[in-house]
Amino acid sequence: MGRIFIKYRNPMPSFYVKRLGYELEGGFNEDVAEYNDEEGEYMNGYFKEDGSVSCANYIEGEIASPVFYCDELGFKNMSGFIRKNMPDEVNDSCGHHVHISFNNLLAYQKLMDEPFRKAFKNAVIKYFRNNTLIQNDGYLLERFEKRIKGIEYCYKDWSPNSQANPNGMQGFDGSRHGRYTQLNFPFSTHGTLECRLFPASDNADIVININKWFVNFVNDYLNTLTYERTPYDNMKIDNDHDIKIEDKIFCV
Amino acid sequence: MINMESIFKTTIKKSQDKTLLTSQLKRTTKGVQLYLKSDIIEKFFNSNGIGSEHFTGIDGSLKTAYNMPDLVNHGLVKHIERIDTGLKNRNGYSNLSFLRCVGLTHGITFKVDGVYSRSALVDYMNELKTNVRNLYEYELKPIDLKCDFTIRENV
Repeated sequence: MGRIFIKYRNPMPSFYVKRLGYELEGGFNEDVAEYNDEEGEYMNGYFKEDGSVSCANYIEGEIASPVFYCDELGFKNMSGFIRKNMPDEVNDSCGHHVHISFNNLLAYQKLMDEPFRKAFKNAVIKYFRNNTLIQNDGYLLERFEKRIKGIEYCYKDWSPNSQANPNGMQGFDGSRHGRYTQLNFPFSTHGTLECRLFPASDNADIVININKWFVNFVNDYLNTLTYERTPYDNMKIDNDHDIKIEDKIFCV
Repeated sequence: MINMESIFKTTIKKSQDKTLLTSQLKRTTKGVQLYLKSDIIEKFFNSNGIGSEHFTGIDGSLKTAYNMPDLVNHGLVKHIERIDTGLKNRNGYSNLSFLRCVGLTHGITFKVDGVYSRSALVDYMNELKTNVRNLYEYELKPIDLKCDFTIRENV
């Protein structure tokens, strides 16, 4: 009987990141943040005030984007939205938070492991220091260098289990800074992974570039991981003693 | 003259290790899954004869758990007294209430509430094994009792 050879091709990369949303803080002008006195609310439904932002010459707040799919059309829509909703002023008090969700829970859980934290930190430093768009904005790079060391609302703590499962998991890896960490896992509230590390920018190209980079990095990282094996564990009852059998034999 | 000689023949028989608990805790695309199998543990909870209660797993399946017995080892109580569906119960202790479920003899799979890192799963399994070992030592392990009877005749 002949031998059968099965040739495996390299598998196509999978796209784990399904959707994206972002929050961009800053000082906005009235084109973006016009207030309707009669209705008592901002006309732009995506804008809201934010007390942590300090940009005195403008309307202080943030744009919380709608959710975009991470495909070609989704990125196109995202780019269009970003260009129409940019701040006029940003500084140390302003952050750019990106939320991403996944097509399965195993992908989400693999990002809760320590290796992802290390890989992400190395990659984001490399990205910010080598990206030509960002290199032209020295102020952005300076703010990034501060944020990567850990600042208010963007602490270095790593507490994925207590953030993702707030009921009872605080004792496991709980942080006193709650959700204000560089990588935050608000699984129970939003079902997303949030990156709070990026400093806000008033340049739409940079904001678009950062969002796309984050999605691509996470996808590429998940594609490098191998299959997670979990064998069965059999607990045995250890017998401390051997059974001794004594037979008395009488000889006459 | 009768010469009596006693010869003792001694054999040492190695006792076979029984399986106390078979377990598997794994992450899947739908979350986390825990498999437990132990006829010894289910026999213990069943033998208390204090009934059972129903509860709903997070996958919507109806499950039954034996009611909480009195335990000699009070350290285990905080882990199993409350039926919960996550790796930690609401008091912050590792949730081992899965051990009280009916069906452990043939093996039962639970969908665990939440998402976890690999290190959280490793810690949970270590705590599960430690507490199951304690459960066995304090509540389940048979005791060897050797009794010698002698009769004294007063002449």
